[in-house]
Amino acid sequence: MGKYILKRVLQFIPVFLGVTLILFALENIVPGDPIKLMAGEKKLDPQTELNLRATYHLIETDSNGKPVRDSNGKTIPTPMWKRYVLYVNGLLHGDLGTSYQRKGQSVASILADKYPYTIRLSIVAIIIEAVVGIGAGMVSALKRYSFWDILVTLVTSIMVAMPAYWLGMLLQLFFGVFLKNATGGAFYLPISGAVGPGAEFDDWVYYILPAITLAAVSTAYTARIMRSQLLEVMNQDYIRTARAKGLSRRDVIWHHALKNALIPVVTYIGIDFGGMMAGAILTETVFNWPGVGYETYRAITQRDWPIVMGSVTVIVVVVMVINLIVDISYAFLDPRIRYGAGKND
Amino acid sequence: MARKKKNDNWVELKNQPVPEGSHLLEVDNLKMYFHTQDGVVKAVDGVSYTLDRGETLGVVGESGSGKSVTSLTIMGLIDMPPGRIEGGDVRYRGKSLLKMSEAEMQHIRGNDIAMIFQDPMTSLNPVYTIGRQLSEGMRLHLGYSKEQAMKRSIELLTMVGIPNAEQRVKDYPHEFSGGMRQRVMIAMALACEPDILIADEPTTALDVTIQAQIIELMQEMQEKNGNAIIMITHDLGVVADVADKIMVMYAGSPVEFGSADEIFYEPMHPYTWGLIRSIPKQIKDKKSPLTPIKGNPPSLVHAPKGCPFSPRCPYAKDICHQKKPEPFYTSTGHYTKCHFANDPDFIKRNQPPTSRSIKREAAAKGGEA
Repeated sequence: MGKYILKRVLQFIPVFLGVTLILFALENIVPGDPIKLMAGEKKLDPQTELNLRATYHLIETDSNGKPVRDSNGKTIPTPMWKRYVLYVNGLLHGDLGTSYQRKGQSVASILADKYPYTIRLSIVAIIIEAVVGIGAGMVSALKRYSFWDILVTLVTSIMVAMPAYWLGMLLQLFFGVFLKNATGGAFYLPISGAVGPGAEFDDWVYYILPAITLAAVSTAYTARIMRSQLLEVMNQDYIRTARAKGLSRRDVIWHHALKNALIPVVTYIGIDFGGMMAGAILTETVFNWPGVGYETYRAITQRDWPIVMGSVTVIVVVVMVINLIVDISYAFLDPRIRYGAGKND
Repeated sequence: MARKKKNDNWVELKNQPVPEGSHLLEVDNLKMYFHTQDGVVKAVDGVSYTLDRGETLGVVGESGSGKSVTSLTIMGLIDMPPGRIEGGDVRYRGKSLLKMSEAEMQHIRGNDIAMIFQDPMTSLNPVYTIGRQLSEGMRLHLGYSKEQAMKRSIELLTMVGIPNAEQRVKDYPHEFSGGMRQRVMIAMALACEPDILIADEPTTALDVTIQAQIIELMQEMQEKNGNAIIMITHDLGVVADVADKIMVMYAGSPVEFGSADEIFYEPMHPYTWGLIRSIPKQIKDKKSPLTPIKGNPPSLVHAPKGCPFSPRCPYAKDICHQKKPEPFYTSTGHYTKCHFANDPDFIKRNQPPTSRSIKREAAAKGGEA
């Protein structure tokens, strides 16, 4: 097992280098000069501009940080490979760079600020997904062809087909606008932002609509996977064996069927959690959620490359780690899977 | 882990004497039909037999003849619907199993009547250890603690011939071979010392060399525990050595029933003849083709009007296609459902030669000479 984990962690390195390299290449292809964007409509003082370019390593500098000039007196743009080496070197020293637009703020501090919101939202969403998805799937499978089964099948079909941002907007419209008007402002849910000083609601209330939106599609998939898995498992010979032993239907389902049916479901939920931790750009944008998804979206539109680079780098690592955890958890759920040097090798 | 029985008022039927005039197990004209979209499938259509402790009943027939459904009905493992009991009764120690509630049946299953299945590769739960799966029944029915059950599991595994049982009990099913798994299944079925062991084609999925071992193991266990065995198989060879009585089933109902001797040496039904003829003969020098029974079993939805075997029977006459035969009994209780069973000439003429009939003929010839 230890050997397997080490092997997987070593695989992170090429993936990590590849992703950062692609991002660097993209940064150079996408038009728009970040320093000019920083200034916006205003005309930038040439000396300030030069200093900024030097600070962000956009032009070659000498050991004192002064811009290097060629024989014509022009500054020399830093080649991409050099900036990449500088970036990776910074990463190895725990430095994710400095934001272009949020002046002077380090990318690390911005992400540290945003990530907790994404993590908390993801956890709430994953709980909804697991509880509602597995529950609905079980009811659907165990009461096959009943009213509840048809309802679950119908609702999950609609949910799977519905884009998250549209569902988010519909929820905002209903809970934030329609309900507010209908009850004369007595009952409604917040539709934008999260907790802050002088917030109108308790903290947790802000999570309701974004978490539902974020969880909706995955919950529908979870319910469908759970239903089909449980139906398949209930037809297995070992279920008949368990019944022949005299176990009650409840024991057969909870002890013999569920553990087998859950293996693929847990995998799906795990991978989905990795995806959510990457920040849900659409959901966070619709709800003005101050998480990494929204921050990444903002950074892209403003050509704030250090933030894009930083957040994607962190996201890549997080997703890889979660996938590794999911893979390791297989071995605990399914004894047939053994990693590394086992007795079946 | 399985919960212990809640109902302490339950009387262990296993410990009750069999009432006067009844048998351990009585299947009485049992009818189990499946109501499907295509129509009513008469999977079991009038099956009767009795069984006592220490006896072995062989149930023989092709796939789809209702052998397995009969035993699953006894166990109460048929989902209803689509299944429905259309008549008859199953009595265990004089008590009707069909009238029992699901909770009562849970006391019977695994405790009084246990079952092993055809495919040991899929009949064990892949995510639990062998020990856990063995323990389950004992904890449920005998009220054993985890430690007691585990200790007994090791004993059981040793008993069914699994070496190094103390270690193996912690292993998972995929770490066992097919034959070993079937041994585990037998150990699991016998864990609570049931009265009746139903074995549904226990050797079909195994290597030929392992088959004999498994059959021997079951016989050994029977000698030790005195339980009855219902051995379901499509292979007459399997029941030849072990069965006391044999029921030959065709299209959901028995066509012939008798002692193992009667079925093998004095078979009366053309279907039984066909089964015997289709056993490959082990003659070294003379190669002869096998004699199969032509055609396929009839649809159980649109069963033939007359004798169900008539479409495939080489001796079928008009009456066979028109009228269902009534059982014909001999003085020993051997019965068969054939219109010509009362014609000794017909039987003598067409019966496959058996070692006994060959001897008898030789003796007759010798007498004449």
